[in-house]
Amino acid sequence: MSSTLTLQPVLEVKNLHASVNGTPILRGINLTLEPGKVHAIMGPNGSGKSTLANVLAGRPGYDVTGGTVNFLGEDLLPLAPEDRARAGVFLAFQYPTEIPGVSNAQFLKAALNAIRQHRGQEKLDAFDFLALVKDKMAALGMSPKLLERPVNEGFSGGEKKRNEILQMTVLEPTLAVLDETDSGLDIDALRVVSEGVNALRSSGRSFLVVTHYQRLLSYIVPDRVHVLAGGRIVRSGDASLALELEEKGYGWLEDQNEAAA
Amino acid sequence: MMSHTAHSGLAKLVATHVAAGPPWLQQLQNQAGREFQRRGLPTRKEDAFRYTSLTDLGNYDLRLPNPVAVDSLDRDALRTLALPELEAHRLVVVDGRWIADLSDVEVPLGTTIQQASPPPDFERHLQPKGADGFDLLRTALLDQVLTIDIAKGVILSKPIHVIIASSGQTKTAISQPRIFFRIGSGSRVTIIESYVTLTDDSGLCNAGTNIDLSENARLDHVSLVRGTPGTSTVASTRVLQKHGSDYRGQSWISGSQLARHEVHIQLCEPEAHASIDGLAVARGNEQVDNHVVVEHAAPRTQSEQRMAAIVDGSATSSFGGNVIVRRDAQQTHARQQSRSLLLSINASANTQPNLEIYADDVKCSHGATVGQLDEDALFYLRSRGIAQKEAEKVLTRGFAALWLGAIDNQAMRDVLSALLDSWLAAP
Ligand SMILES: Nc1ncnc2c1ncn2[C@@H]1O[C@H](COP(=O)(O)OP(=O)(O)OP(=O)(O)O)[C@@H](O)[C@H]1O
Ligand SMILES: [Mg+2]
Repeated sequence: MSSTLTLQPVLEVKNLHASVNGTPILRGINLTLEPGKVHAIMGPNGSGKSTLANVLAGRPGYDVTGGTVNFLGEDLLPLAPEDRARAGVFLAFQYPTEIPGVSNAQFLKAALNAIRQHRGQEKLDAFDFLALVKDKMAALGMSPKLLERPVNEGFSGGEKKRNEILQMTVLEPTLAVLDETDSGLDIDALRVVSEGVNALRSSGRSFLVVTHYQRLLSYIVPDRVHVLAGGRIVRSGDASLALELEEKGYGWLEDQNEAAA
Repeated sequence: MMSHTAHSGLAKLVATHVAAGPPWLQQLQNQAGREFQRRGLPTRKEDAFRYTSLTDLGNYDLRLPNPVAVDSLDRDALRTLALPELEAHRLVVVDGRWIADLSDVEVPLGTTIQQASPPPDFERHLQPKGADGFDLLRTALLDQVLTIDIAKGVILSKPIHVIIASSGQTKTAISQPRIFFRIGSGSRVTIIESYVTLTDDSGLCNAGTNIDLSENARLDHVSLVRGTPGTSTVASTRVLQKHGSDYRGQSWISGSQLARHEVHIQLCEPEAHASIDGLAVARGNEQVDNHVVVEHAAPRTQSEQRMAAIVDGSATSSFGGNVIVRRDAQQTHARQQSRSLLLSINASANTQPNLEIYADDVKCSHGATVGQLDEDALFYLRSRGIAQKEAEKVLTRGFAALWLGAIDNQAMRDVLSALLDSWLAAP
């Protein structure tokens, strides 16, 4: 326990405030994620979970109005989205974007090589790239045909989510933010995807897992669970908090909060 | 609007031109000459040129080129422009003249090539309906026609590539290459026409290609207009189609002062089909025009126009897409689609669809979109480590993918794909 505390946190969010289109959404988030840890973020619809995820990834239009975000000890906020990705931040989108005319293979290869170049590694040629990707696709139960199709275009809900995880396994980030990756997955897919995530769990990699369902967290067992409501973390606890929420809903937390305020 | 010196320069050229050749031709030429002197180059008042600026062109005192000095041509440049990676029979035309020395010696089987005064059956190609100033100039100053005949039932495995070059040896010259393809019935060929310039010198290439497509012939016709910044090219293709014939047009136009490609198709007999897939790209102050007219003159004919434009900087693109369905042309299907991608706020894309339908049992559709790169898609790519500039290129290429995808032939697709990539890679 004490040894992990001396390690530099992967992510340190302090009093983060952010607005979308001038509307304040995040209103003072505090969160510290140590190396190798998995934190879950739960909370009602519209509470700001995706906003937090997008702010971390640097999405244009999400304005940070206060607070700090450090990634591996460095200020993350001035970095462009691509520089964050190269530094090791990955967001699995709640709603992956469709990109007509650009094949999944072309896209993944461009991404992987941009990141490899940043890490000082050789670019992969088409042959090595395919070998790498096909293995990872097989592990996720994805048809290799999805490589030649335009990115996410016409993919089923589950295929899109698997495609996000595929990108994660190929890019090997230090911090992966999974925004409702479980929604839209069938029961088997949920298991396969969870196994994919668990296989990537390591002492050097941390996860922020946004979900509405305890079911995912029984596969990917979190070290901490936070509840986001109204743009703030209103409760944190260990894995058992998720079970408690499943049972009681969010109402009791909000009641407690109001009582405390 | 138009500068008067320009008109007087060209008008003088036309007035002093001595029409030679057979009497029927002289008569047509004189008639076109008088008409040109009256009307001059097109202006924006003409629908087909509403979004086209010809003012720069008007400032030059254009003259006919001197006979080209073949030995002083930049052969390396010519070789590169001739797409050496593509297996093809090559014919080189410089300043409107076929140069046998620079062309492949061997002529494909079933093919004859000759350059001469226009053959008699060329007459009907010299009086196009709705002729504009460029058409009139082409007729008034017509000299020789390069006629390429493909006999009937010929299937060529390699394409015929005609490299139509402007030498720039005569400053501010107007060259008027004229090519006539007669494709015999049941034949199947691929013809590529590359319009290129060997210098950056300002001048005008006013090219005309006429195609007779016989019964059940299929022509894959690739037009590549690749101007240099100071040049203007107006390339007009006119196609007359017989029963069951199939015309598949592909075009690439990269900007210059003016790069305009016109395709006029007449589906004269039943069951003829024509499709045109075009991509025009422009940046800086360049101008690209695509102008298509498909006339359905017989029953059960079909056509598709799929045009795309990518416009950056302060460049302008325009697409005029016309479909005419004559009264007898029942059970016609005509589709037209235009997509434009604007990469900067100063870029502009103009689309002008025009449907004239005189038959009642027809299916016609058209649609046009003008848009920018999708912000969400850009962010998606960037969130995976792809730099902004690169992401923009990937998406721009994605926009063009639909056009590339319409090309069946792998080798041809590779060539066009390389043209696109080198355009994207340039600043
Ligand atoms: N682009 C936008 N413009 C206006 N409001 C926005 C925008 N994006 C998000 N919001 C608002 O911000 C609030 C938080 O949205 P967010 O997507 O972060 O919620 P969430 O917790 O992820 O919800 P869910 O569980 O439904 O995914 C919502 O009220 C939403 O309507
Ligand atoms: Mg969300």
